Amino acid sequence: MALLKRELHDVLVVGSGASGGWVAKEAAERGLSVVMLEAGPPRIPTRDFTEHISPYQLKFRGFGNQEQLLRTQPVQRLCYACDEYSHQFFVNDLEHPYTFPADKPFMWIRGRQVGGKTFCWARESYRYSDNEFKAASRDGYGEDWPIAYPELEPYYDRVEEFIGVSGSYERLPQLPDGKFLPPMKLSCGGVLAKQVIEQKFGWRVMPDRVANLTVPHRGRPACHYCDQCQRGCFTASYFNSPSVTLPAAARTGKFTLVSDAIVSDLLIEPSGRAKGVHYIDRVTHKHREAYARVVVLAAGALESTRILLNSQSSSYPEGVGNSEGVLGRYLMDHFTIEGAGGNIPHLRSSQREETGRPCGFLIPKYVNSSNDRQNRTFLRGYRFDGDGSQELYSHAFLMPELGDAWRKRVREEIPYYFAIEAQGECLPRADNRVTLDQDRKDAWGIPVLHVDATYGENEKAMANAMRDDIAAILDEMKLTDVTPPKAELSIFGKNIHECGTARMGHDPKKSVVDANCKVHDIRNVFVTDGAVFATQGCYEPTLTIMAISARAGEHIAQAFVRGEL
Amino acid sequence: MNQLPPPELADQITRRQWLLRLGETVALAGVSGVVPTAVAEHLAAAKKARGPIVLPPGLYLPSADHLAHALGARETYVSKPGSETEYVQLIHGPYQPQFFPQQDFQIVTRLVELILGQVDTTALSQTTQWVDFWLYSAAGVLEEAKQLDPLHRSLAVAYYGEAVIKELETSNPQLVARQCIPALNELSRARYGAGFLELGEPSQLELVEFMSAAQAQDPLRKFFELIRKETILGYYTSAEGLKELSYKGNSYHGQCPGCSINEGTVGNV
Repeated sequence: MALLKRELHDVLVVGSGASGGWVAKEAAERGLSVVMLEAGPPRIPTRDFTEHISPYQLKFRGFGNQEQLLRTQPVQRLCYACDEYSHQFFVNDLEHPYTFPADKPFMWIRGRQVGGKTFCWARESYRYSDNEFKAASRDGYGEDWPIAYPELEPYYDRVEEFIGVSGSYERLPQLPDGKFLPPMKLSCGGVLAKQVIEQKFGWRVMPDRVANLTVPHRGRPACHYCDQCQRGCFTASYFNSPSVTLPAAARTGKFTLVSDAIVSDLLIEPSGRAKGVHYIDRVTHKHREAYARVVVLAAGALESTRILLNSQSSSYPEGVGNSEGVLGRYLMDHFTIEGAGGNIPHLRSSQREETGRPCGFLIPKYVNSSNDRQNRTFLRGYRFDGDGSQELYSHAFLMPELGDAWRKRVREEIPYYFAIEAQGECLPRADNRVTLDQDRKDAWGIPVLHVDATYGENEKAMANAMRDDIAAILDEMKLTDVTPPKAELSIFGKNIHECGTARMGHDPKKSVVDANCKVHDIRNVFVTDGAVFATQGCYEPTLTIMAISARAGEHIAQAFVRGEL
Repeated sequence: MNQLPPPELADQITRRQWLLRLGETVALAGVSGVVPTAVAEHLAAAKKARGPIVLPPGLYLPSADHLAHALGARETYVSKPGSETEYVQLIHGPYQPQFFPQQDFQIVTRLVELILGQVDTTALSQTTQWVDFWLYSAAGVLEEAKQLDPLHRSLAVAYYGEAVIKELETSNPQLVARQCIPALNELSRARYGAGFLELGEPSQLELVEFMSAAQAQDPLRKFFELIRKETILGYYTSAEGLKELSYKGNSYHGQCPGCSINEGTVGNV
């Protein structure tokens, strides 16, 4: 859809994913006219979803067209979800380059389409607590968020009630309960883990809290447990913005969606106020402008920061929001210790189990979350997730026989594998940063990002504790054929929880946006995605991104009515 | 823009109704001539409940017809034009190998048969086609791997390790296959005085055993492992292979699959 020339909207939202959807919904439902610019194309379920496709229906049996993936998606292919079924939800790396020092590898996994990465996200939805929001006050490192849990709680409620999150009530102070739909069941491996780990170590084992519906919810049917969420969902039984928040915005009649619109920079008036954005048509490469009284950047942490950095003018020579040199700094991404697991011998079976739960189990953070479980070798903490399941056919490779007898063994001697990994908090460090690489442009002539980030001593010390705990769990679970956890930390960016680079704070000298996500330096520009995180904790950020976005959308609407914008 | 009905109206489609509708659709999906009617009825019912809806392209509401279409597809799936997914096309007539010469393809087919034992002829054919197609595709993979941008290569090394990437850049399965089929025939003639295909099953199995027990770096061992690996992947991703495994995923489940063993006794089984 093309915009009418000089059409002035109340709010312009850049990005249609988890954050943009909530800002648009909240603002439009309060009567503001909202235009949303999305860099990618619309996805059509009947054309682009591959839910319920079997491997034998695909040209490469689900293993992917490796030649094409290596040529056009050499970065994206490293993401577990970028496979033959779902590669269409990830960008072409040739068109979307970025750079990094060769000794500091960074994975930037990106989805550009209406809905952004919400087609492919892992749907894990955990509230942060003041353990995260006020971490600096507890251990003295870095900065607190300018908001506390009680301020965000009603927005967590609002988001969970609207999108539907299944989960169990655990009454843990460090992991607040929410407005949950009934929890998913645990697998037998999960049940065993709960029995063993809770009894031996006293660590809580619970089903993942996921944005999948376990009962019908607001016109959407319950999950039918095909476990193919990242291929799209015809029944809209997990949260993605194109089937949940964006239709709500559209229902108001105040919402305009423009796809294939790649925003390059903000349009700045001589007064220093933003009057809209400059964007490029993805298909025709024509340059266009869109105008609004308020601009909200919700394009994903790094893309929003890239737009701010690229918005250089006489008023903002270093980019909008960068008067103190903070913009681009304090990049974070969770790190993981992966690869650990083994077989549970007494769950080996000749009977095939039903499979399809879209979640596993979680062991919430316990270390450094209260005074009685302190580990002073590092700051902050980690959580585990894992699951157990029957092997499908990977055991066939290990059975040396041939012919009918071999296939009978494959069919009737099904191993049961248990896997567990740890995910830890990355400290916000000023030298983990992104800058513009003026020497390299993307396919639309926009300067690309240079990402310079690495994990430090705190993360490495935490990783040692993670490995020790995993080893103890594997030992106590009495697994066979044990694979120990990897020695290396995951690559920066690999967990696709990139946060920071336009962080939130009270002090304009130390932060980019205020508690309402408004950029300190400019009156009418907001950033609402993961860029604003001051700390990241060890839990997935998307639920908090949505809560912050809902709060910002509401604030914008109220400020608009008051004439402040 | 048309207004959507309030969410509570859509909520009137209960879980039970959904299950009944979807269950019926799934049951009917494979019956020729019934599906369009059934799907049309579902669509009409869903639309009636929702009222008129106009959404911008890219936004969507829950749909049973899409689900039924995908669940009802059999060997091949027909997608809409413009899809970025490459689906298997129905083959009319005998398969023409893309990599192997016809004679060599017969040898590979026999090796696959020896590995799998007695299987459905369609599944055997799909497996041998996969082995041929995988080898056909391998040249392009090797070329792309060798041309990886240095920055992307460094990322791949950080992710997989140097040894894996080196293997990707240097392994040439096409060369292995081209060299080893004649080598297998030569070995067969030297041992039994006839080519591999002319041998009886016991002799063929002896040769297979010889290949699998050879030194790790022996080309014949590498060739056999290559064929065995792709046979496993090809067979257990075929419809028949998945059926043989009693695979119960990729399905419509009415309720959350979970542990069927009594929770109190999981640890004591």
